[in-house]
Formats: sequence, C-alpha cells, structure tokens
Amino acid sequence: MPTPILPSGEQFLTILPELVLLAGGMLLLVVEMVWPRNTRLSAVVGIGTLAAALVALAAPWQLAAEGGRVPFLLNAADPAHTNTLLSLSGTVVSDGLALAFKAILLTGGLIVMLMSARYGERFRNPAEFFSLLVFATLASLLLAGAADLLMIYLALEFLSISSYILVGYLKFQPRSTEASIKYFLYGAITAAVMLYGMSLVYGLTGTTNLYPTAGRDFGVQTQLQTLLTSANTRPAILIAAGLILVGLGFKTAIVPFHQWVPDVYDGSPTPVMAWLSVVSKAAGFAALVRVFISLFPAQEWVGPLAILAALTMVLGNLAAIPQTNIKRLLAYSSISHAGYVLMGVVAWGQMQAMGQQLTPWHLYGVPVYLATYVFMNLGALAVVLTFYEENRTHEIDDYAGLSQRSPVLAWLMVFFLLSLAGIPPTAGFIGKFLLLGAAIAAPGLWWLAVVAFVTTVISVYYYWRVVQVMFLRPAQRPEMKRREWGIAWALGLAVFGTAAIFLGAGGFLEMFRLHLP
Amino acid sequence: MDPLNAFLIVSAGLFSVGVFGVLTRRNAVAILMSIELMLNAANLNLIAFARFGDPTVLAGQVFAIFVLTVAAAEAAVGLAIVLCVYRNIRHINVDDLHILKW
Amino acid sequence: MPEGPPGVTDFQAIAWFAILAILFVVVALGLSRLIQPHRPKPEKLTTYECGERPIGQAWSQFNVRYYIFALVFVVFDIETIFIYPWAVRLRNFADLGIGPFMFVEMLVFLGILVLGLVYAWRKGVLKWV
Repeated sequence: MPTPILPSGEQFLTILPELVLLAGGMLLLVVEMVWPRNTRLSAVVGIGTLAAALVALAAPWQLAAEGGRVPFLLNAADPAHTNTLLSLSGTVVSDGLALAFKAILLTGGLIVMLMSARYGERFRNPAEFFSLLVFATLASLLLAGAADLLMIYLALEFLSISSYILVGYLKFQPRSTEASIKYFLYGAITAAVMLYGMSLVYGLTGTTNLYPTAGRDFGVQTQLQTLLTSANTRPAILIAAGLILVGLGFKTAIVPFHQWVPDVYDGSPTPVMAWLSVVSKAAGFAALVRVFISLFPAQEWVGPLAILAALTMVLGNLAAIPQTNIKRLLAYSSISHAGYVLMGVVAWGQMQAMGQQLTPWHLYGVPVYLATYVFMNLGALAVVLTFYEENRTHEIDDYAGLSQRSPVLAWLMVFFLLSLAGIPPTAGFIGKFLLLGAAIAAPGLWWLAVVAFVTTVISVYYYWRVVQVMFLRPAQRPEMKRREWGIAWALGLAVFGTAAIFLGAGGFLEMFRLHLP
Repeated sequence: MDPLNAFLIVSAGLFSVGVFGVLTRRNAVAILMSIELMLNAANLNLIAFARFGDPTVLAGQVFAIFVLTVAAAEAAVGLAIVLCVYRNIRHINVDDLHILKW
Repeated sequence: MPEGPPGVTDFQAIAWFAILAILFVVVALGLSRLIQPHRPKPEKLTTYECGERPIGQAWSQFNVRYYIFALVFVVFDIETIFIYPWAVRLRNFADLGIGPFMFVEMLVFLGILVLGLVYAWRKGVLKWV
C-alpha cells in the first residue's frame, strides 16, 4: 500500500488566490446581512477581493518557480516536476498553464466586477449578486488548476450552479428566468453525461488522477495508449472521450453544444453575459486542454475536434450576420471565437500526435488568444452596458449616430470591434496570428487555417455593420451624459490590456523568433 | 456472467432510461428527475469499479459521495429556477418557452 | 474487509427472496378475495382516513414554502455524508499525527455551512409568512 500523502499547511499556499476569493465571497454575505442593500460598499468589497486574489496569485507562482523552470503543461512522465507542482493529494496542479489561466480568469472577473458596480443597484440583495460572482470566479480558478477528474467535475459543477443563479438573477423578468432554466437544463444534462464518461475513465485506469504519483511509474496517458490497442477496451475509451467532450464543450460553447448560447446570453443580465462569454469559457478551455492534452491520446481526437473547430468557426460567424440585437451578435461572435481557440488546441494535439517538438506557437497560442479575448470582449460589452443604461435598448439600429452622441464610446467600440475581428493594428490580430501560425505549423492542418482565415473575413463584415450604424447614420436622440466610475475603470482596463498585449507583441515575436528552429 | 459486467449493464440501462427521459419529457421537473437517473448510473459505475478494482484505492467511492452532494445542490438550485419560471409564466413546459427566440 | 466480491450466488438469494415476496402477496390477497363476502355500500367505498370524513382530493398541491425547508434540510443531510467517514477515520488521523489539522478542516467546512444557514435565517427564509 502506498504511503498516504499527508496534508500540510504549506500546501494551501498553492491555492492562496482561491482562499482569498472564498473569504471575500463569505465576507460579502456578511456585508449583506449587516448592511443590507448597500451597493457601493459591496461593490468595493467585491472589487477588493478580486484585486487581492490577483495579488495573491504571486504566492503559487513563487512556489512553482522555486523548483527552477516551470513546465508549461505538466507531463506525467516527468517525476521531478510532478512532485513539486502537485499539491493537496494531487488534486491541484500549479504549472504554467494553470497559473496563466488563473491570471486571465481573475483579470476577467475583476473587469466584470467593475462593470457591475452600479448594475447591482437594481437587485434586492446586491452583495449576494457580487458574492455569487466571486464564488463563480473561485470555481473557474479551481477548474483551471484541477488535476483530478473529481476536482474537474466538482469545479465544473460549482461553476455551473453559480452561473445558473447569476443568469436568472433578475428573477421577476421572464426573459432572465427563461434563460436560466434553459442554461440549467443544458448544463445539468451535459454534466451528467460527462460524469458517466469520467466513471468509464476511472474504470479503465483505476485512478481519477491525471498525474498519479503513488505506486506508479507510468502516466495515465501511456496506460490509455496501451488500452487503445486492445479491441476490448478501445470503444470504451473513445466513448469516454466523447462523453467528457460533451461536458467541456458545453462550457466552452463549441458547435454541437452551442445552442444555449444566444438565448442565455440574450436573456441574462449584461454583466453576467460578459462573465459567461469570457471567464466561464476560458475556464472551460483550461479544463479542455488539461483533459485532452494530458489524458486522452492525441492521435484519436485530433481529427474529430478539428472538424468541430471548423464547424464552430463557420456556424458562429454565419449565424452572426443576420442578427439585429447587439447581445445576440456578440453571442454568436463568442461562439466563433471558441472555434478559433479550439483550432489552437487541435494544432497542439496534432504536434503531440505526430511526436513533434512543440513550438511556442502551440503552447502560447491558446492562452494569449484568451487573454486578448478577455480584454476586447469585455471592453465591447462594457460599451454595450453603458449604452443600455441610458437608452434601454440592445437593438443595433438604435446605435445610430453614436459617434455624435458620445464620440468616446463610439471610438472605443470601434477599437474593440476591430480587435475582435483581428484587424492588424490591434491585440486581436496578435492572438489570431499566433493561432493561425500554430495551425499552419502543425502538419496536415493547413485547411483549418484556411477556414479560420475565411471566417475572419466574414466576421469583419458583421462587425463593420455596427461601426457603419454608429458613424454613418444620423443621431435620433440627444447626447449621452451618464458617467459611471465602475464602467469607466472597466473600459480603461480593457483598453490598457488590449494595447499592452499589442505593444508587448514585439517582445513575444522576438521570443518566438529565438525559439523557433 | 462476470459480476462487474452485471453492474455495468444495469448502469448503462439506467443511463439510457435517463437519456430517454431527458429527450422525451416536456415537464422541467420530470427532466430534472431523469438527470438524477443519469447521475445515479454514473455513481453505480464508480462504486462497481471501486469494488472490483484495486481495494486500496477508494477514489470511486469518494467520487460517488461527492456526486451525491453535487446532485443535491443542483436539484435545489434547479427547483428554485423552476419555481421562478412558474411564477413568471405560469407553466413549466419546456416546449413553450419562447420569449427568447430559439 | 468483507468476504470476496458478491458472485452470482448472492443474486440468486435476492431472486428467491423477490419471488417469495411476490408469491406471499399474491397468495394472501388472492385467497382473501376468494373467500370474502362482497356487499358494497357508499360508506364502505369512501377513502379510509382514520374514521374522519375525507376532504378534497389526494393530489392536492403542497404549499411551495415547504420546499424552502426541504432545501435547508438538504444542506444538513449532505453535511452528514461527509462527517460520518471523517468521524470514523479521525482516530487514524490522530495516530498519523494530523488529528488537529483534520479537526480544524472539518470545523472550517461546518463554519461555511453555518454561514449559509445564518444568511438564510437573516434573509427571513425560515419564517413562515
């Protein structure tokens, strides 16, 4: 019998940001009990919690860096690092991927919290809303750092259950509750399907851990690889992979599991839509990369997932064209962005399947793209929210003449839409460039890069339509006057992030040039 | 028959009943019940694998306990949402939810 | 550890048990049906409610407030699931020298649950309005 791993207080440093979020979320509940309906105070506590968690992320970073260079994705065949990077009985991993995603998720959560600072006024229990946002962000962090199927399932359900409530938080609005029940039914069904797949993986490998250390000298992936050669176990592995993909595909909103997206995004409160389209999606991708790259053998899933990525890009972009509501337009655009990111994951898997040396394009494409996506999508949604607060409409036609009514908002929207479309002088271009490069560098995936390029051109069309309405149609309403500190900060952060990624890209490119063969 | 297979067949049957219920029932509460069946099928799998696998590894049984907890939490939130929907639109038939265009 | 995995023999026992149970019900009810006299009166055909006159239908709607109480109950129901294995193993943990650590961990878990209950209480969930 292997010796049990004793827990120690020090290991809790690896989840310090999560602990900060937990304390902050509970503090918000206390705030609601002691000072009910104090939106300003609870917003400050919520923002402070997320900022503190972002600072606390330095602790696991420091711990991981103590063992020398941190591998970007922990490899089970690398015993030196599995001992230092796994903690809490091997359920939490703090490799580069986990830490990078945690930084992305916390930044996204912080911007959403800033966006909703004033939005909370319309709720009876504002601090409860912020507390749910904090808990949902906590769940997304746990998902990004999960190294065990049990942990992935728990974190995913924690994330889902908090988001069901957030989506239906305007509980006297039929739209919001309808979105909530649709989201709930989709989420609960896909999670149950995923759980069945996980139980099969457990039966096949005898462990739920992705990087089992005790009493084994080989990784689970190697074991699955061997099992794949047997005709008895092969179908079970493929079924398990398919079932788990259902759950993760729901979270990331890739194509066959995307039907809920437009309705749920449309019906939910705008800050919650922002949260779902960015933080929840990024967390889903963290788990998707973790499960598919380090658990299932790549040569089996690369083909099907490449087709799904292509379908996601085509369908998301085509369906966005006829939309007349800005929230639905951005919902379909978020589906298409999931397709681009999935293309990056597929390219990564393809390199692994071919046994080729991974380049920085493949490793960093997905996180860099998601980081830019956080800033540009949240920026665009912050503009949408500001517009809604004054005009009470999400129809694109009502954006007519925004350039005269509020030139700052109009130009910010142009900036974020250009970035979403991936037009060269913006951060979105850097992200797309990396992903396209990753797909081209992977053997046999050039067709996926072509699909991505063509669909990007399509996306320019529908983003341009919004710009056209804002600048070329006459204004029908008076100048916009509302100013609000929370959204102003959110917009500022989004612009700063988008610009910083673009300006820092020179450094990235230099790094790639040095690393590329 | 291998006893493990007996468990797996029962669980696969249970899962299929659950999926069938999810696809055919139109009442939100009935769908919720079908989801519980699917979760229990997975639980049965986990317990069976833990019982017939390595006896020193308890991961499957622990997993099942956590799944029970999550299922309870999910049912609680799900019923609350169903209640909100009922208060707003006076029915819980999922086919007739069309304020948001599908 | 109990004896080996349950084989087919255990299922045979269960099957016999099931067959006997069904037979018992069928025989007992069938026999009484055969020999009982049959003289129906309206009084006899009403639902038996401990001698009281039945009011309304059996499929009446429950007040939705019961649901909230059931919800709060579920919290503690689930809590028990985790406390039992923990309580059984606590002595072993103490032998390994991590007893206090485990004890505090459970207290933290309970603390989080209690905060939830206090929140529900303060928000008036436990009041019957």
